[in-house]
Amino acid sequence: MIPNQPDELSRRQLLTSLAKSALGVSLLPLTGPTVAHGADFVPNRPRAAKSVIFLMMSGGMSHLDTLDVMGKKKDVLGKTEAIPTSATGMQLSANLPKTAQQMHHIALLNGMNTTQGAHEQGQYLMTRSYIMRGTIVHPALGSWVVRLAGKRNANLPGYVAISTDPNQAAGGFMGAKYSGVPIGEPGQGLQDSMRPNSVSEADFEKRLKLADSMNKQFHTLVSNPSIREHNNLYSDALRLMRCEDLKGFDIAKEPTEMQELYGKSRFGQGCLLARRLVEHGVRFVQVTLGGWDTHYDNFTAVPARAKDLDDGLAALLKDLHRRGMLNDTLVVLGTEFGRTPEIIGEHQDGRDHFPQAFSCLMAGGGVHGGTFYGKKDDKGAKVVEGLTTPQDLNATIGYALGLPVDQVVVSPSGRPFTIADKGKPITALFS
Amino acid sequence: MIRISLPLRSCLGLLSAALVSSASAQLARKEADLGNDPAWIKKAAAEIDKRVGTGFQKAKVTPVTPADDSRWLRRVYLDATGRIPSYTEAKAFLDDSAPDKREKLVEKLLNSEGYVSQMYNYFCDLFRATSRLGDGTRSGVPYLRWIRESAASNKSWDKMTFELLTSSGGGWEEGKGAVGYFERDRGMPLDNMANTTRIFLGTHIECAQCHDHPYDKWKQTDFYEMAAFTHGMNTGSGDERKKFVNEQYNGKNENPDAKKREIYRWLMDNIYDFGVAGGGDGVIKLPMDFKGKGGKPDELVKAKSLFPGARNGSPKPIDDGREKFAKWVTDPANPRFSMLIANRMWKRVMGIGLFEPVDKFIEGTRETPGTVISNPAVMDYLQSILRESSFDLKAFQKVLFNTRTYALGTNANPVDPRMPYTFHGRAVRRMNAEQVWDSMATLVVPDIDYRKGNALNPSAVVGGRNLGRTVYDVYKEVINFKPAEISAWVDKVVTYTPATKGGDSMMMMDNMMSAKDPAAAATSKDAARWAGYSNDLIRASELSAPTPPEHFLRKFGQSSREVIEGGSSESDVTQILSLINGHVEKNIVAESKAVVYKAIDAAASPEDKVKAAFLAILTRYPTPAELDLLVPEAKKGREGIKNILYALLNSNEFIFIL
Repeated sequence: MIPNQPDELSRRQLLTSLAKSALGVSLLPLTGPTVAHGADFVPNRPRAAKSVIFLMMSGGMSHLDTLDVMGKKKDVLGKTEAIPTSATGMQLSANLPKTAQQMHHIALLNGMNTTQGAHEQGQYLMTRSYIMRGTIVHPALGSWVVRLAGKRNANLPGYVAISTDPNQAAGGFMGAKYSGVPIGEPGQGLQDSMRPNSVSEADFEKRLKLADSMNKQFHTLVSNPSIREHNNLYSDALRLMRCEDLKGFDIAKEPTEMQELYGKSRFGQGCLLARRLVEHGVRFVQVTLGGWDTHYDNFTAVPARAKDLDDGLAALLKDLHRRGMLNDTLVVLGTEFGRTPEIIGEHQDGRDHFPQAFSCLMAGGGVHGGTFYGKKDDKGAKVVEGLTTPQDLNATIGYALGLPVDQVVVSPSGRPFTIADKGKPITALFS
Repeated sequence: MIRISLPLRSCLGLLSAALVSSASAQLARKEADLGNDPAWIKKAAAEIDKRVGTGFQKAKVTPVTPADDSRWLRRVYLDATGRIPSYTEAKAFLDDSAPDKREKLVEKLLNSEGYVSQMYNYFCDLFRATSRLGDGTRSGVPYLRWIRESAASNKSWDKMTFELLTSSGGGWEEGKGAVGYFERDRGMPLDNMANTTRIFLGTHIECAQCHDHPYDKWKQTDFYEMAAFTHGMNTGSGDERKKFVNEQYNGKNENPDAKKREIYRWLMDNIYDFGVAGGGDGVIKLPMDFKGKGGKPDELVKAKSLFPGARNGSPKPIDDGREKFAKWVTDPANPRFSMLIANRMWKRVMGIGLFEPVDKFIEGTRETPGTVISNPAVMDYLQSILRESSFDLKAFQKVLFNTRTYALGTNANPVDPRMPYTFHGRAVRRMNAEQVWDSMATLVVPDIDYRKGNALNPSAVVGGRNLGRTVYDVYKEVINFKPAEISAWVDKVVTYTPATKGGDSMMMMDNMMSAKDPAAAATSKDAARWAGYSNDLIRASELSAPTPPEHFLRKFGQSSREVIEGGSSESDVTQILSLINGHVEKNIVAESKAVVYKAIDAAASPEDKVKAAFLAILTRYPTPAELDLLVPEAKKGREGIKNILYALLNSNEFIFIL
């Protein structure tokens, strides 16, 4: 067993299971894998990260009440207080006490700025690097990463999206095979991944063979790429069912202390699942935490959200570090925009959308911890140094993975796109 | 401002003139019942076919051979009612030799409960209607009920639009459910306006919310001029009551009894802080960070429509901004309004819009060509029949379903919806999530269209107690209470014990049925026929929405209803897992009471059993080669039949509509 080489391990396992199972042998040759295996991928820089865990704070996370409290005026912070962290001279909001203890792993991106002030458009730009257009659906970041780097484990999906709206994890013009595989409840793992008890192995094989015969006749009548793509997914599904690494989806296999460490919230359990999946060789995992749209009653709503974030994020960093996985795993926290420094009294002290300035973070994956990049003014209202766009953030993720960030992928409609559009990686974050 | 393209300018001139005379009359005018005039339907269908045919000649394409009865039947059931026909329905149609059986079927389907179900899903996706609104504290049920009622009564599109845009009153005030349209976006009136513009006018101005539009002509000031119409709305319902109730469950003087606090909270969320007041100020201040041209931060702007037609001349707030706006939007002479809905309904029936995406129409300028309408003559005619029928969407669809264009065979080649299409054959597409779910449920549950769920139940459940009456009734009772009366009411409710168990919901649901469906009233009372079937097997329209992310419907692309028409028909690996390991086996094949088995069991020979399975699942009879493949399996008895059902449900032909 060489636990840190999931590629090797799973290929061997696949071959073994194929040889053992007559079913596998008869059914798998339908098609080859629909997504390239990444064994041949060579990163373009040394010590590149292998996987990404992207934590999406949906709704627009208030930067002043979470990541960017340093040197901010009292009137814009409102009830939020600053606390010291494990990194000398750095502070975080008191809403994130556990994360503060992991600050030595974290680089804050305090110069974030976006052009999009509406949720859908803002999230779209953050996770896809392009402005939402009516004419095309751009692939999600996870789809890009799998497209450029391939899968790490041929049996498992390359991209898993936990508690995430399936539309946000869509493969867009790259097609459904690059879409994030959705997990609703982390504890339930990958639904329907086992043959039902009521069906014998022989009947299961019989049924799929009959369907396959029907489909072959059907394809001679109607030959259409979307039908073929749908049909090819059957091979992917069977391959997934048969692989040992499927247990990567099962957080019940984790000891109770571990489940408690991450917090019992859906987000916390999602972070735990993300760690397991990365351990089993999933390339890109997104975990979404919603509810950050704090127009009303910001100072009650943010601490409630921040608790789940704090438990999950701090546990994730601690755990990845302890397992020696942090250098190979880039953890990113993103959100569509920030919230106004003005506190709106008539909305029970709410904060509105604020695209001009907000904050994200990166940790692991070769990122220098205990630092920050970019700076806002003392009101948290304007980026005064190190302005970073969502495209820059995505270019940085590509850089961390050693991806060719300028590699053009042409859409079926003939238009050229890259993983981060015109974004420039922040190389200063890395050694 | 000379930003309007040349071909549209003449229409818009007409528009502003027409607005003055028609605005007040438009909603009161007599509804001509053209939808029930067979001659009108026939004439309109023929005219469309003629214009589509001219398009074939121009593009030099040959239309595909017309679809046979089986294919047309499956297609029309899916498009008009959102599910495949049952075995019985398919057999009845195929055995019928009447020459006008297709017209008769269209008539029947459009007056069925299935039609209401699929239109309801469609409107909910369009209006982003959910079972919980906004942050989840307020109920979406009255809004959903308003949509359901609008679909069931075939409310005209202009009336629906007008009611939405001018809605005011309590969220649970009888007849005022349309306020959900604004409540849905509480605290986000600008996003709401951007969505309104996209739904009804086909213009994306959301980019102009923060800056001048980079690709379209819209400036940030245009956005705020539009937003001024609806600015100044609030949640109404009396500050004195709100203040009192809020104090009871929140803050240092809160009521010491936790149960009472829960009831106060319920009153706040359902009665006193739920609804819309304010007719629209007609003025708005530009934001502090305004960076567009033609305005300054904090400057007051007056309401003005994107295209000429409506404006507020006064810098003082008015109280009918929303009505002015709604009249302008819904005016029959507003070319965008009729064009948008004509194209949406065309897409619903024909599969692809005359332009796509259906919510984005860009006018051409001298520099850029703008949106191309694939067949402008058809578009003109569609708009004219829509106006002629007073925006009767059922009549409009009836025309389309009766065209020969609709009845053409399948175009097996891939069709890119972004390219102008000639409609010389039906483009292949995957069923949407609701169609897959509802079609599978059709195989299991008898009379599936009439089986009701709890998603639209208006029963008042307060602090865990079912009060045995509707929230509408509670609203009427308590809305004008003084603080002392409120606390007396809470004292009463806290000790309330339900006399009998609920059971009122089924009665309530009857009123929601389509009035024209004679089977509805009789069937819905006979709940016994559904005894023993899983409670979850009801049509998608009867489930709370959206379903959780791991639900079958979401996996297959049901919209989360956060964005307009957010559903997807893309395939992915988790769907295949449901098809091979999940729903298909557990809830369909393994369900021994499934109606599909009745049809199969009634057939005597193995060959007839295979035929019955094909008719029930694929709406056609098997070919000789398919009989050779499957008859041996049918000879094995029930286990073999199960294998056949599973195989047919996993065939690509089941899930793709031809």
